[in-house]
Parts: sequence; C-alpha cells; structure tokens
Amino acid sequence: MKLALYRALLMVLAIALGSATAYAEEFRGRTPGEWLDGMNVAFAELDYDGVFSYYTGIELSTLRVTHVVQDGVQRERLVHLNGEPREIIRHGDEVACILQPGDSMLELASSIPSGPFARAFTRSFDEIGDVYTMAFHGLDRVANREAVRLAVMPQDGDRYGYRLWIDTATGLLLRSELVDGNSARLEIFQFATLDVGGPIDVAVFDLRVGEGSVISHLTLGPHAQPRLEGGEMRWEATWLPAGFAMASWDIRRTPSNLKSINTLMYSDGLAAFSVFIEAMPLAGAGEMVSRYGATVAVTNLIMGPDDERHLVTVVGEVPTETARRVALSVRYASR
Amino acid sequence: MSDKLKEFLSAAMDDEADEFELRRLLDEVSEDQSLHAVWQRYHLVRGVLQQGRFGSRAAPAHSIDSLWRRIDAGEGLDEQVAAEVRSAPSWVGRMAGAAVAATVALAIVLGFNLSEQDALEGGNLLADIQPSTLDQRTLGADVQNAAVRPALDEFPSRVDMQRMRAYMLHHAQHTSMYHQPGIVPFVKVAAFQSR
Repeated sequence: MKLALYRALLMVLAIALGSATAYAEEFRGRTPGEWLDGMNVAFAELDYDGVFSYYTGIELSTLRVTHVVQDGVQRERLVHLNGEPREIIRHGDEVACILQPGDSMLELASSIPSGPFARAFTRSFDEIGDVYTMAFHGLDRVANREAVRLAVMPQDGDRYGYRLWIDTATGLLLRSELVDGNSARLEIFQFATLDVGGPIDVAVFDLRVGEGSVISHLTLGPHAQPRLEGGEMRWEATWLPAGFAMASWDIRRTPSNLKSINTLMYSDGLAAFSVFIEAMPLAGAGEMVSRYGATVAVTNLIMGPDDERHLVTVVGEVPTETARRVALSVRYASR
Repeated sequence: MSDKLKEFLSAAMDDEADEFELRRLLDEVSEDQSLHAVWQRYHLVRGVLQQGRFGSRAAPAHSIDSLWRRIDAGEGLDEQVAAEVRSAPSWVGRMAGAAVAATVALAIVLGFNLSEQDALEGGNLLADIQPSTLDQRTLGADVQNAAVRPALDEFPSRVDMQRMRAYMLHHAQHTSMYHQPGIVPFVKVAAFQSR
C-alpha cells in the first residue's frame, strides 16, 4: 500500500519535473518576458469586452470593461456592476467619470492635479531578472479560455510576487494574483467572461449621463503642473531594496495650499513605491503605518533644512518592512 | 480559552490582528467570560505601561458588546472608542477595486470620504491609521526629540487621514500613469464606496 503511494508520488513528481523542464525557457517560442510584453501590447491594441472581478484582499468588485482602438486612439469603458452606479469612460487621455451626486470620487476628481509624471520610465520585462525569477507553470483554463501560467517571484523579501494566467490565444491577462512571501494572496484579478475581437458598438463609449448622475472630467498623460522654478530634488532615500531605482521626482505645490510637496518615485520595473516629503511645522500624529490590501503607507517625521520638521510618507505595494526601512532612510542632502 | 484565541487577543493588542480576526475576536470575547477577563487585563496592562509616557488612559470601560454592535450598525465611534480599536490595521472606508488595462494608463481614483465619521460609517473597517512601531533605535537623534514626536496615544487627526488618503491617491496615479503598467497589468481604479 505504502509502496503504491510512493510510486504514485514519484510519478507525480516526474510529471511535474517533466513539465517544468518543458516550460523552463520558452513556452510556444516565447520567453516569460516576451509573454509579459505581449500582454501589455494586447491590452493596448486589441478590441475586447469582458467582465472581471477584482479582490483587494478586503473587498470584491465586479466590473465590465470594453476596449477598442479607433483611428489609433484607445477608447475604454469601465462599469461597476455592483454597488453605487459608477462608470468611467476614457478616450485617449481624456477620462470622464459618471457618478452619483455625493460620490466620493467626485471630490477626488476635482482635487487631484493631472498626471504628475511623464511616462518616461519603462523597463523591458527581460531586465527584471535580477530581482525576480520567472517560470512557466503549465496550462490552465480561465473564463473558458486556455491560459498559460506564469510565476514571477521575487528573489528577496523586499517585494511581492505575481502569478499570472495569460490567454494563449491573444496574450491578454485572464487572471493575476499578487502574493506575499508566505504565498498569501493579497490581490486577485480575474475575468469571468471575455470576448476578444468581436464587433463592439462604439456607441457604448458615448457619454450618456442619466438623470441624477453627475460627470467629472480628468486628463491623463504628461500634462503635469510644471515643476517649481529652480526646483532641485535634494531629498533622497539612502536605503533602497535591491533593484529599485528612482524613476522620477517632482516638486509641486498642493492645489489647496501653497506648501510644496516633494515626490520621489522608485521602481524595480514591476513594483513601485512613492515617497512624499512635506514641511510639517505643526506636528500631527507623525508616525503611522496603514495598510489597505497590498498597499502600505508608512510615515515618519524627520528634521529637514532650517531645522524644520518634515513628514516623510512612503506609499507602495511593498511589504511593510520595506516601506518602513525606506521611510527611515530619507535624508535631505545639504549642499 | 484556546491558545489560538489568546494569540489573536495578543495580536489585537499589538496592532497585528487584521480586521477579520478582530471581528472574530470580538465575537468570541463577548461570549466567553474568561476571554473577557483576559481582554480587560491586557488593556489594563497596556494602560499601566502607557501611563508613564502618555498620561492616563485606563482600561476601556466600553463593553465589547456595544463596540461590536456599533461597528456593525455603522455608527460612528467616538474618539475614545475609536482610539481603543485603532489596533485594526486597515483603511477606513471601503475601497472598491476596479481594474483597467495597464498599458492603458488610466486614472486611478481612490475616492475618499473626507470625514472621519463617514469613514467609520463604512462599517467595514475599524480604524484607518495607527501609530507605527518604528524602531526608535534607527531613528535619527532629531526624531527622538520628544518635542517632535506626537503622543502615540493620539488618534490620527482628520487632517492626517486626509493626507494619507491623498498620498495613496497620488501613488496610485503615479503607478498607473507612468509605471508603464508594470506587471500589474491592471491598475487599480479604486474608489471608496461611500456608503
């Protein structure tokens, strides 16, 4: 009996090893990095219509997404299928949110400055190999479509890993999981249905504001507020996890007041965190740790130039300890 | 009382229990006299420990029943209660995640309830922001200056919470806009369900 069990286990192991070897380098002639790049291209260039769920670790949302490329311009519509009626329609860089009066998204739309950074930082997925290990894990089925499973696991504890299910036919992502060092799933995204390349009535992208709804506009893209004249970033994180580099920085004034906020953004090619530094003459509750699903925010008060207190806030999809170490390492470089 | 529950209780006191655990804990505690005694003892111990540094905060007088009921009913918690339960490491409000094709850098929208009260009314989470346990030894001398340090006992102000949310939003925006979707091929267009 025991022997039979061992034999069965050995067979399973052999099969597992066999398939691992088969997928180790390439799957259908493409490396993991090429599958990832293909995924991004697919999302931008294909026409598709689907329903997906998104679990943040705390809450589950279901949305319908419709995407087409018309005359070289992306048009997209996202509709929340649960809860408050809420719809987002994008035409190129122009975004319109159709909401109910009083929806908290409204305040946001009016209060956020438009895109703070140009899309300058891109890194090929083939270059993240220093800090992540990528491997294929066979085939699966999601939304009734064949998917290749791809694991992107970090080589240290300073970042999270990903498990991806990519549509073998189109390259679209069908399912993804963000996982921590204990393999706990922090976020799950998954299509329930997906139609690719079918006819899509572009009338769905027209703005139709129902009775009682309100509309709010946003502009994406590099239309950022100009950096402050003569601005020079002198803040820096003196400790960074391996592979992270500064992707961009920005000094801006908040819309609501005249304070300037220094922003630094760091990325390892996949994961990213932002560091915000602002003068904090009045001490509030300075040091805090907050977490929402995979996103953590850590604050720390430090002394900046002119013996003025500054609040450092690190926000990102990284482990708390990583964010904490970064926050504690931020310094002002006096020259 | 099971060791597991004791662990939860301890974790809750150390700000390490998640919301789900905390809710379960509250359930258990309300049904179990011995647990209830442990809960009060822990609070008493914490109260004593904190007394030297932060002035007096006695063990909570709030009955767990009422706390639980109020959280469930979505009633706003008064500041003292909120401070008592702030151990829950979670965000105020309920954030609905949405996802968008990443290459499609779409705006990220974290909707925020700007009032603490509203936030707590989300009924979903207990407290937004907790004092951190930053390792004092690694802090610079400046920061150790007591004058700079806010009392950890202080519940984060509304301004603090607004700021935190604004930063969350900015970060999400940065990520979606320019992080050339990274691998998170779906960016969060997260919006708080305001009710």
